[in-house]
Amino acid sequence: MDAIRRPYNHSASRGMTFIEVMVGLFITLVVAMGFVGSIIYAQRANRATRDYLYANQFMSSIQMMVQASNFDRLGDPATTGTAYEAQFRSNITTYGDPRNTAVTPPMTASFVFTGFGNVASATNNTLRASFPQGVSSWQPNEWAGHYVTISRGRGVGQVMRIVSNTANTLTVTADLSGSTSQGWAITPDSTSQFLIDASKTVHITVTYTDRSGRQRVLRRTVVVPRPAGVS
Amino acid sequence: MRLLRQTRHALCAFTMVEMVISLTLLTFLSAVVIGGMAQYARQQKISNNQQRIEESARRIAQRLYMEASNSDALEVRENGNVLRLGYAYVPDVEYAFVDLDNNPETIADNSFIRRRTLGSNANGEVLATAVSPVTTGTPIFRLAAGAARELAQLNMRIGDRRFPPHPEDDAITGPGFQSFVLRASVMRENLIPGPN
Repeated sequence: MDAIRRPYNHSASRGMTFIEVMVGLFITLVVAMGFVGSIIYAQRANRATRDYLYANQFMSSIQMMVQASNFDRLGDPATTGTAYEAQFRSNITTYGDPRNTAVTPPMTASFVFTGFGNVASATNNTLRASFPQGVSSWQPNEWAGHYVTISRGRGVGQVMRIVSNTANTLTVTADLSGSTSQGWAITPDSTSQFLIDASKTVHITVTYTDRSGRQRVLRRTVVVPRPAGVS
Repeated sequence: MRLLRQTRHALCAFTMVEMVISLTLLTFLSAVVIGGMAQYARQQKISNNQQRIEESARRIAQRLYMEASNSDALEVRENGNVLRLGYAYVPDVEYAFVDLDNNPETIADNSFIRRRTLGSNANGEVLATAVSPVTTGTPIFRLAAGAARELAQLNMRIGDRRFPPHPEDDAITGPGFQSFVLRASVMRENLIPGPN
Protein backbone atom coordinates (compact mmCIF):
# COMPACT_ATOMS: atom_id res chain seq x y z
CA MET A 1 0.00 0.00 0.00
CA ASP A 2 2.93 2.33 0.64
CA ALA A 3 3.99 1.88 -2.98
CA ILE A 4 0.58 2.95 -4.12
CA ARG A 5 0.40 6.00 -1.84
CA ARG A 6 3.91 7.30 -2.45
CA PRO A 7 3.62 8.49 -6.07
CA TYR A 8 0.32 10.09 -5.32
CA ASN A 9 0.90 13.73 -4.41
CA HIS A 10 -2.09 14.97 -2.52
CA SER A 11 -1.36 18.67 -2.72
CA ALA A 12 -0.65 18.58 -6.46
CA SER A 13 -3.71 16.77 -7.63
CA ARG A 14 -6.52 17.79 -5.34
CA GLY A 15 -8.78 20.80 -6.00
CA MET A 16 -8.94 23.86 -3.76
CA THR A 17 -10.49 23.54 -0.39
CA PHE A 18 -13.46 25.63 0.56
CA ILE A 19 -11.26 27.81 2.75
CA GLU A 20 -8.89 28.49 -0.13
CA VAL A 21 -11.76 29.50 -2.38
CA MET A 22 -13.12 31.83 0.30
CA VAL A 23 -9.71 33.45 0.73
CA GLY A 24 -9.41 33.89 -3.02
CA LEU A 25 -12.82 35.44 -3.28
CA PHE A 26 -12.10 37.74 -0.37
CA ILE A 27 -8.96 39.00 -2.11
CA THR A 28 -10.94 39.54 -5.29
CA LEU A 29 -13.52 41.49 -3.32
CA VAL A 30 -10.88 43.73 -1.79
CA VAL A 31 -9.41 44.43 -5.23
CA ALA A 32 -12.87 45.22 -6.58
CA MET A 33 -13.54 47.60 -3.69
CA GLY A 34 -10.27 49.37 -4.36
CA PHE A 35 -11.24 49.66 -8.00
CA VAL A 36 -14.62 51.19 -7.22
CA GLY A 37 -13.02 53.49 -4.65
CA SER A 38 -10.59 54.79 -7.23
CA ILE A 39 -13.47 55.63 -9.54
CA ILE A 40 -15.22 57.61 -6.81
CA TYR A 41 -11.98 59.38 -5.98
CA ALA A 42 -11.41 60.26 -9.64
CA GLN A 43 -14.92 61.70 -9.87
CA ARG A 44 -14.31 63.89 -6.85
CA ALA A 45 -10.95 65.02 -8.14
CA ASN A 46 -12.53 66.03 -11.44
CA ARG A 47 -15.17 68.07 -9.64
CA ALA A 48 -12.52 69.72 -7.47
CA THR A 49 -10.56 70.67 -10.59
CA ARG A 50 -13.65 72.14 -12.20
CA ASP A 51 -14.46 74.15 -9.07
CA TYR A 52 -10.91 75.47 -8.98
CA LEU A 53 -11.11 76.48 -12.64
CA TYR A 54 -14.34 78.31 -11.93
CA ALA A 55 -12.79 80.10 -8.96
CA ASN A 56 -9.74 81.08 -10.99
CA GLN A 57 -11.91 82.32 -13.82
CA PHE A 58 -14.03 84.30 -11.38
CA MET A 59 -10.89 85.84 -9.90
CA SER A 60 -9.55 86.86 -13.31
CA SER A 61 -12.87 88.38 -14.28
CA ILE A 62 -13.10 90.33 -11.04
CA GLN A 63 -9.54 91.55 -11.51
CA MET A 64 -10.38 92.99 -14.93
CA MET A 65 -13.57 94.54 -13.58
CA VAL A 66 -11.58 96.31 -10.87
CA GLN A 67 -9.04 97.53 -13.40
CA ALA A 68 -11.82 98.98 -15.53
CA SER A 69 -12.92 101.22 -12.66
CA ASN A 70 -12.82 104.97 -12.50
CA PHE A 71 -9.69 105.65 -10.51
CA ASP A 72 -11.16 108.33 -8.27
CA ARG A 73 -14.30 106.40 -7.41
CA LEU A 74 -12.52 103.10 -6.75
CA GLY A 75 -12.45 102.51 -2.99
CA ASP A 76 -14.05 105.87 -2.27
CA PRO A 77 -16.64 105.50 0.52
CA ALA A 78 -18.72 108.18 -1.19
CA THR A 79 -19.19 105.83 -4.14
CA THR A 80 -22.53 104.18 -3.51
CA GLY A 81 -25.74 103.24 -5.25
CA THR A 82 -25.62 102.29 -8.89
CA ALA A 83 -22.10 103.49 -9.55
CA TYR A 84 -20.02 100.77 -11.20
CA GLU A 85 -17.32 100.96 -8.54
CA ALA A 86 -19.86 100.57 -5.71
CA GLN A 87 -20.07 96.82 -6.39
CA PHE A 88 -16.57 96.37 -4.98
CA ARG A 89 -17.50 97.84 -1.61
CA SER A 90 -19.32 94.66 -0.66
CA ASN A 91 -18.78 91.00 -1.36
CA ILE A 92 -19.75 89.54 -4.73
CA THR A 93 -21.15 86.02 -4.71
CA THR A 94 -21.76 83.89 -7.75
CA TYR A 95 -21.94 80.29 -8.92
CA GLY A 96 -19.61 78.84 -11.50
CA ASP A 97 -22.68 77.59 -13.29
CA PRO A 98 -25.55 79.90 -12.35
CA ARG A 99 -28.15 77.83 -14.17
CA ASN A 100 -27.20 74.56 -12.48
CA THR A 101 -26.33 75.65 -8.97
CA ALA A 102 -26.20 72.06 -7.73
CA VAL A 103 -23.14 71.49 -9.89
CA THR A 104 -20.82 74.10 -8.41
CA PRO A 105 -20.49 75.66 -4.97
CA PRO A 106 -21.09 79.38 -4.45
CA MET A 107 -17.97 81.51 -4.64
CA THR A 108 -17.52 84.82 -2.86
CA ALA A 109 -15.11 87.60 -3.73
CA SER A 110 -14.18 90.12 -1.05
CA PHE A 111 -12.12 93.27 -1.45
CA VAL A 112 -9.63 95.12 0.71
CA PHE A 113 -8.48 98.53 -0.45
CA THR A 114 -5.16 99.90 0.64
CA GLY A 115 -2.25 102.10 -0.39
CA PHE A 116 -4.07 105.42 -0.40
CA GLY A 117 -5.76 107.79 1.99
CA ASN A 118 -5.65 111.17 3.61
CA VAL A 119 -2.83 112.70 5.57
CA ALA A 120 -3.69 113.11 9.24
CA SER A 121 -0.39 114.77 10.12
CA ALA A 122 3.23 114.81 9.07
CA THR A 123 6.62 115.68 10.45
CA ASN A 124 9.88 116.31 8.64
CA ASN A 125 10.22 112.67 7.57
CA THR A 126 6.96 110.95 8.52
CA LEU A 127 3.41 110.80 7.28
CA ARG A 128 0.57 109.66 9.51
CA ALA A 129 -2.36 108.40 7.48
CA SER A 130 -6.06 108.76 8.02
CA PHE A 131 -7.90 105.98 6.20
CA PRO A 132 -11.28 106.49 4.58
CA GLN A 133 -13.95 103.99 5.57
CA GLY A 134 -13.23 100.63 3.98
CA VAL A 135 -9.55 101.33 3.39
CA SER A 136 -7.24 99.01 5.28
CA SER A 137 -4.44 99.96 7.62
CA TRP A 138 -1.03 98.42 7.00
CA GLN A 139 1.12 95.52 8.06
CA PRO A 140 4.43 96.62 9.59
CA ASN A 141 6.94 97.47 6.84
CA GLU A 142 4.77 96.14 4.04
CA TRP A 143 5.52 99.33 2.09
CA ALA A 144 9.24 99.60 2.84
CA GLY A 145 11.05 100.39 -0.40
CA HIS A 146 7.92 101.67 -2.17
CA TYR A 147 7.20 105.30 -3.00
CA VAL A 148 4.54 107.63 -1.66
CA THR A 149 3.17 110.44 -3.77
CA ILE A 150 1.24 113.42 -2.45
CA SER A 151 -1.61 113.47 -4.94
CA ARG A 152 -3.68 116.38 -3.63
CA GLY A 153 -3.49 119.25 -1.17
CA ARG A 154 -0.45 120.75 0.44
CA GLY A 155 2.80 119.33 -0.88
CA VAL A 156 1.17 117.90 -4.02
CA GLY A 157 3.55 116.27 -6.48
CA GLN A 158 6.22 115.26 -3.99
CA VAL A 159 7.48 111.69 -4.21
CA MET A 160 9.26 110.17 -1.21
CA ARG A 161 10.79 106.78 -0.64
CA ILE A 162 9.24 104.80 2.20
CA VAL A 163 11.88 103.61 4.64
CA SER A 164 9.50 101.79 6.97
CA ASN A 165 5.90 101.83 8.11
CA THR A 166 3.67 100.97 11.04
CA ALA A 167 -0.08 100.38 10.89
CA ASN A 168 -0.74 103.99 9.94
CA THR A 169 2.56 105.89 9.74
CA LEU A 170 5.18 106.04 7.01
CA THR A 171 8.78 107.00 7.62
CA VAL A 172 10.05 108.54 4.41
CA THR A 173 13.06 110.11 2.79
CA ALA A 174 13.37 112.38 -0.20
CA ASP A 175 16.50 110.49 -1.26
CA LEU A 176 14.88 108.02 -3.67
CA SER A 177 17.82 105.66 -3.33
CA GLY A 178 17.01 105.53 0.37
CA SER A 179 20.63 105.87 1.43
CA THR A 180 20.25 109.15 3.29
CA SER A 181 17.51 110.72 5.32
CA GLN A 182 16.01 113.85 3.87
CA GLY A 183 12.73 115.43 4.84
CA TRP A 184 9.80 116.82 2.90
CA ALA A 185 10.41 119.95 0.89
CA ILE A 186 6.86 120.97 1.76
CA THR A 187 5.45 119.10 4.73
CA PRO A 188 1.95 117.77 3.94
CA ASP A 189 -0.94 118.53 6.22
CA SER A 190 -4.52 117.38 6.71
CA THR A 191 -5.50 118.86 3.36
CA SER A 192 -3.20 116.41 1.63
CA GLN A 193 -3.97 113.05 0.10
CA PHE A 194 -1.46 110.39 -0.81
CA LEU A 195 -1.00 107.38 -3.05
CA ILE A 196 1.56 104.65 -2.61
CA ASP A 197 3.27 103.81 -5.92
CA ALA A 198 0.88 106.30 -7.53
CA SER A 199 -1.74 103.56 -7.43
CA LYS A 200 -4.62 102.10 -5.50
CA THR A 201 -4.04 98.57 -4.33
CA VAL A 202 -6.90 96.10 -4.07
CA HIS A 203 -6.49 92.71 -2.39
CA ILE A 204 -9.07 90.31 -3.81
CA THR A 205 -9.93 87.09 -1.99
CA VAL A 206 -12.13 84.43 -3.53
CA THR A 207 -13.41 81.74 -1.19
CA TYR A 208 -15.53 78.68 -1.73
CA THR A 209 -16.17 75.44 0.08
CA ASP A 210 -15.56 72.26 -1.82
CA ARG A 211 -17.64 69.12 -1.51
CA SER A 212 -15.52 67.66 1.23
CA GLY A 213 -16.26 70.73 3.36
CA ARG A 214 -12.81 72.28 3.03
CA GLN A 215 -12.67 76.00 2.47
CA ARG A 216 -10.56 76.99 -0.51
CA VAL A 217 -9.06 80.45 -0.78
CA LEU A 218 -7.55 82.25 -3.76
CA ARG A 219 -5.82 85.59 -3.29
CA ARG A 220 -4.68 88.15 -5.80
CA THR A 221 -3.48 91.70 -5.51
CA VAL A 222 -4.47 94.19 -8.17
CA VAL A 223 -2.61 97.47 -8.50
CA VAL A 224 -4.64 100.09 -10.33
CA PRO A 225 -2.29 102.84 -11.51
CA ARG A 226 -3.35 106.44 -11.55
CA PRO A 227 -4.13 107.38 -15.14
CA ALA A 228 -2.26 110.28 -16.65
CA GLY A 229 -4.01 113.55 -16.02
CA VAL A 230 -5.69 112.41 -12.82
CA SER A 231 -4.47 113.87 -9.57
CA MET B 1 -7.06 0.07 -5.15
CA ARG B 2 -10.10 0.40 -3.06
CA LEU B 3 -8.16 2.40 -0.54
CA LEU B 4 -6.72 4.54 -3.30
CA ARG B 5 -10.15 5.37 -4.69
CA GLN B 6 -11.36 6.25 -1.25
CA THR B 7 -8.40 8.44 -0.58
CA ARG B 8 -8.76 10.32 -3.88
CA HIS B 9 -12.43 10.77 -3.42
CA ALA B 10 -11.93 12.14 0.01
CA LEU B 11 -9.27 14.67 -0.92
CA CYS B 12 -10.20 15.94 -4.39
CA ALA B 13 -12.76 18.41 -5.81
CA PHE B 14 -15.70 20.14 -4.13
CA THR B 15 -18.95 19.06 -2.81
CA MET B 16 -22.02 20.32 -4.63
CA VAL B 17 -22.73 22.84 -1.89
CA GLU B 18 -19.23 24.24 -2.10
CA MET B 19 -19.51 24.55 -5.86
CA VAL B 20 -22.79 26.41 -5.67
CA ILE B 21 -21.54 28.81 -3.03
CA SER B 22 -18.28 29.42 -4.87
CA LEU B 23 -19.93 30.00 -8.20
CA THR B 24 -22.49 32.32 -6.67
CA LEU B 25 -19.80 34.41 -5.06
CA LEU B 26 -17.71 34.33 -8.21
CA THR B 27 -20.66 35.50 -10.27
CA PHE B 28 -21.35 38.28 -7.81
CA LEU B 29 -17.74 39.42 -7.76
CA SER B 30 -17.45 39.20 -11.52
CA ALA B 31 -20.49 41.42 -11.81
CA VAL B 32 -18.91 43.91 -9.42
CA VAL B 33 -15.58 43.94 -11.25
CA ILE B 34 -17.04 44.08 -14.74
CA GLY B 35 -19.61 46.65 -13.66
CA GLY B 36 -16.85 48.68 -12.07
CA MET B 37 -14.79 48.53 -15.22
CA ALA B 38 -17.76 49.60 -17.31
CA GLN B 39 -18.44 52.46 -14.91
CA TYR B 40 -14.78 53.42 -15.01
CA ALA B 41 -14.82 53.50 -18.80
CA ARG B 42 -17.96 55.63 -18.76
CA GLN B 43 -16.49 57.97 -16.19
CA GLN B 44 -13.30 58.22 -18.21
CA LYS B 45 -15.28 59.20 -21.26
CA ILE B 46 -17.18 61.85 -19.30
CA SER B 47 -13.93 63.18 -17.83
CA ASN B 48 -12.26 63.35 -21.21
CA ASN B 49 -15.16 65.28 -22.68
CA GLN B 50 -15.23 67.60 -19.68
CA GLN B 51 -11.49 68.23 -19.96
CA ARG B 52 -11.84 68.91 -23.67
CA ILE B 53 -14.55 71.46 -22.92
CA GLU B 54 -12.55 73.11 -20.15
CA GLU B 55 -9.49 73.26 -22.33
CA SER B 56 -11.39 74.88 -25.17
CA ALA B 57 -12.80 77.41 -22.69
CA ARG B 58 -9.31 78.20 -21.46
CA ARG B 59 -8.01 78.62 -25.01
CA ILE B 60 -10.85 80.93 -25.95
CA ALA B 61 -10.38 83.07 -22.84
CA GLN B 62 -6.65 83.34 -23.36
CA ARG B 63 -6.90 84.20 -27.04
CA LEU B 64 -9.68 86.69 -26.52
CA TYR B 65 -7.77 88.33 -23.70
CA MET B 66 -4.62 88.72 -25.82
CA GLU B 67 -6.42 90.02 -28.88
CA ALA B 68 -8.58 92.40 -26.89
CA SER B 69 -5.55 93.71 -25.00
CA ASN B 70 -3.87 94.64 -28.27
CA SER B 71 -6.97 96.06 -29.93
CA ASP B 72 -7.80 99.72 -30.38
CA ALA B 73 -11.57 99.40 -30.01
CA LEU B 74 -14.13 96.99 -28.63
CA GLU B 75 -17.65 96.86 -29.97
CA VAL B 76 -20.50 94.54 -29.08
CA ARG B 77 -22.82 93.93 -32.02
CA GLU B 78 -25.84 91.93 -33.15
CA ASN B 79 -27.66 91.89 -29.82
CA GLY B 80 -24.65 90.64 -27.95
CA ASN B 81 -23.79 87.79 -30.29
CA VAL B 82 -20.68 89.39 -31.74
CA LEU B 83 -17.65 91.12 -30.29
CA ARG B 84 -15.67 93.12 -32.81
CA LEU B 85 -12.08 94.01 -32.04
CA GLY B 86 -10.88 96.97 -34.00
CA TYR B 87 -7.24 97.51 -34.92
CA ALA B 88 -5.60 100.54 -36.42
CA TYR B 89 -3.14 98.78 -38.72
CA VAL B 90 -4.39 95.22 -39.19
CA PRO B 91 -7.81 93.85 -40.17
CA ASP B 92 -10.48 93.76 -37.51
CA VAL B 93 -11.50 90.49 -35.90
CA GLU B 94 -14.87 89.28 -34.71
CA TYR B 95 -15.76 86.64 -32.18
CA ALA B 96 -19.27 85.43 -32.87
CA PHE B 97 -21.88 83.12 -31.44
CA VAL B 98 -23.54 81.29 -34.32
CA ASP B 99 -26.98 79.77 -33.80
CA LEU B 100 -28.24 78.32 -37.06
CA ASP B 101 -31.80 77.59 -35.92
CA ASN B 102 -32.14 80.71 -33.79
CA ASN B 103 -32.96 78.58 -30.77
CA PRO B 104 -30.13 78.72 -28.24
CA GLU B 105 -31.59 75.81 -26.27
CA THR B 106 -30.71 73.39 -29.07
CA ILE B 107 -26.95 73.20 -28.87
CA ALA B 108 -26.31 70.87 -31.80
CA ASP B 109 -26.22 73.71 -34.32
CA ASN B 110 -24.53 76.29 -32.10
CA SER B 111 -20.89 77.24 -32.36
CA PHE B 112 -18.48 79.94 -31.34
CA ILE B 113 -16.22 81.23 -34.08
CA ARG B 114 -13.50 83.73 -34.76
CA ARG B 115 -13.74 85.41 -38.13
CA ARG B 116 -11.85 87.96 -40.17
CA THR B 117 -14.58 88.41 -42.77
CA LEU B 118 -16.73 90.79 -40.78
CA GLY B 119 -20.38 89.90 -40.59
CA SER B 120 -19.93 86.58 -42.38
CA ASN B 121 -19.52 83.11 -40.96
CA ALA B 122 -17.77 81.94 -44.11
CA ASN B 123 -14.23 80.77 -43.40
CA GLY B 124 -14.75 81.36 -39.70
CA GLU B 125 -12.51 79.40 -37.38
CA VAL B 126 -14.62 77.26 -35.08
CA LEU B 127 -13.33 77.61 -31.53
CA ALA B 128 -16.04 75.63 -29.76
CA THR B 129 -19.19 73.72 -30.56
CA ALA B 130 -22.29 72.96 -28.48
CA VAL B 131 -22.21 76.46 -27.01
CA SER B 132 -25.15 78.47 -25.72
CA PRO B 133 -25.99 81.43 -23.51
CA VAL B 134 -25.54 80.71 -19.80
CA THR B 135 -29.23 81.26 -19.24
CA THR B 136 -31.80 81.77 -21.94
CA GLY B 137 -32.07 85.40 -22.93
CA THR B 138 -28.73 86.55 -21.60
CA PRO B 139 -26.38 87.85 -24.29
CA ILE B 140 -23.07 86.17 -24.97
CA PHE B 141 -21.24 89.50 -25.01
CA ARG B 142 -21.98 92.75 -23.26
CA LEU B 143 -20.12 95.86 -22.33
CA ALA B 144 -20.03 96.47 -18.59
CA ALA B 145 -22.30 99.39 -17.84
CA GLY B 146 -20.70 102.27 -16.01
CA ALA B 147 -17.11 101.06 -16.26
CA ALA B 148 -14.57 103.78 -16.91
CA ARG B 149 -12.94 101.65 -19.59
CA GLU B 150 -14.57 99.56 -22.28
CA LEU B 151 -14.89 96.23 -20.53
CA ALA B 152 -16.31 93.45 -22.69
CA GLN B 153 -17.74 90.52 -20.79
CA LEU B 154 -18.18 87.07 -22.26
CA ASN B 155 -20.73 84.71 -20.69
CA MET B 156 -21.10 81.45 -22.51
CA ARG B 157 -21.80 77.84 -21.76
CA ILE B 158 -19.91 75.11 -23.53
CA GLY B 159 -21.54 71.69 -23.37
CA ASP B 160 -24.68 70.41 -21.66
CA ARG B 161 -27.31 72.92 -20.65
CA ARG B 162 -29.18 70.80 -18.14
CA PHE B 163 -28.31 69.06 -14.93
CA PRO B 164 -29.01 66.20 -14.25
CA PRO B 165 -27.89 65.05 -17.68
CA HIS B 166 -30.56 65.26 -20.35
CA PRO B 167 -30.85 62.85 -23.30
CA GLU B 168 -30.99 65.69 -25.85
CA ASP B 169 -27.72 67.12 -24.56
CA ASP B 170 -26.17 63.68 -24.18
CA ALA B 171 -26.85 62.95 -27.83
CA ILE B 172 -24.40 65.73 -28.69
CA THR B 173 -21.83 65.75 -25.92
CA GLY B 174 -21.97 62.11 -24.85
CA PRO B 175 -23.37 60.54 -21.68
CA GLY B 176 -23.13 62.37 -18.37
CA PHE B 177 -22.98 66.05 -17.56
CA GLN B 178 -20.16 67.85 -19.31
CA SER B 179 -20.42 71.57 -19.18
CA PHE B 180 -18.32 74.61 -18.43
CA VAL B 181 -19.47 78.18 -18.14
CA LEU B 182 -16.88 80.46 -19.66
CA ARG B 183 -16.88 83.91 -18.14
CA ALA B 184 -14.21 86.34 -19.13
CA SER B 185 -13.80 90.09 -18.90
CA VAL B 186 -11.45 91.71 -21.37
CA MET B 187 -10.41 95.23 -22.22
CA ARG B 188 -7.87 96.94 -24.37
CA GLU B 189 -4.63 97.78 -22.68
CA ASN B 190 -3.01 100.16 -25.17
CA LEU B 191 -5.06 103.07 -23.96
CA ILE B 192 -4.47 106.57 -25.18
CA PRO B 193 -3.12 108.51 -22.18
CA GLY B 194 -6.01 110.37 -20.71
CA PRO B 195 -8.57 110.32 -17.96
CA ASN B 196 -9.71 106.78 -18.73
